[in-house]
Amino acid sequence: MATGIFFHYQQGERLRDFPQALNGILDKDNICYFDSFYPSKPETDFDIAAVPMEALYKIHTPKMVDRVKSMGVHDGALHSVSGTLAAAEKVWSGELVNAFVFTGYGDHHAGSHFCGGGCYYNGAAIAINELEERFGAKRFAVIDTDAHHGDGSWELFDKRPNVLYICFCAGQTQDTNQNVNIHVPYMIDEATYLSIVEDVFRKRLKSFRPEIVFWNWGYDGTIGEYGDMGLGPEFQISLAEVIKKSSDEVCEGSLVVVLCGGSRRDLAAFLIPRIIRVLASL
Amino acid sequence: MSQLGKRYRCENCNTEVLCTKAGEGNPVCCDKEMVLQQPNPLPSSD
Repeated sequence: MATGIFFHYQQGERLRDFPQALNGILDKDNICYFDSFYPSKPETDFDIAAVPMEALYKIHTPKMVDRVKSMGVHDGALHSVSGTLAAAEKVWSGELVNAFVFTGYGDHHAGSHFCGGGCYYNGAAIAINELEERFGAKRFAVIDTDAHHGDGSWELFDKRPNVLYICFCAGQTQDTNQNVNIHVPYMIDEATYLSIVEDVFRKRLKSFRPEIVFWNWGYDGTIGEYGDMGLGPEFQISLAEVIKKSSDEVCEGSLVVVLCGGSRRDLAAFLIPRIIRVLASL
Repeated sequence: MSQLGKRYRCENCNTEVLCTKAGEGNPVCCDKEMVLQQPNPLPSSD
């Protein structure tokens, strides 16, 4: 079974080393590479098609979409979501076992009628809605390890009891419906953080039995980042191993990793290939 | 030199290939060098 990489060409500093930084990965037999955006050439099976606007309006209000358009970030946000949806469809269909999605903008601060913090459309929420409506998927889990609270995801998933949403951040611990916030203090010991993830995420996942898992992966809690929680880069790799193992246990490894927070180019070039290697067992 | 992660197309038969391992040469199809496809980058994200 293959791991998918979904990449689109978005100008910016953080992903400037890609796709070149995928050297030693793209040539592996169990890697499939999908990209956009080449509007001038004939479509192929490895293009990422833009998400239809109808799918966007099922999650976000027209007023909010208009606001995002007026900010000039609509195209980038739409193509970020497109990668997540394409990845989710291919993992759900069994074409891929898991996937890593490069994004220009994150998910988790985007709610039904509000956005901010570099998040304009909620890709995981849109993909979940599409999998449910078009493919009959029933149970989903979203783990959010970005340093900040996912207020948009919280609002969107609070209305969906078939989505287990677990957010690890500095906010207070809460547990309502299937929305769970786990307090992770600044400068937490990495081993303690991992054991909390093992305890909470793995246990909740095993009892909830989702059919597919989304991971809103932000590396902004890494030392020197804007959400610095004192976590070393290696921590993110250990986290990936725990989350992959958990997904393997409950849903045959169906996992979509969505790039969220983090701004440093050097960390992106170091971490992303290694996260993909964990997904693909390279 | 070929470019990792970039797509090349044959202008004769329209075969398209993805470079999964870069090397000194360029891919050839129908006895001609294939053409590097230029993606349209989206606006800045950061």
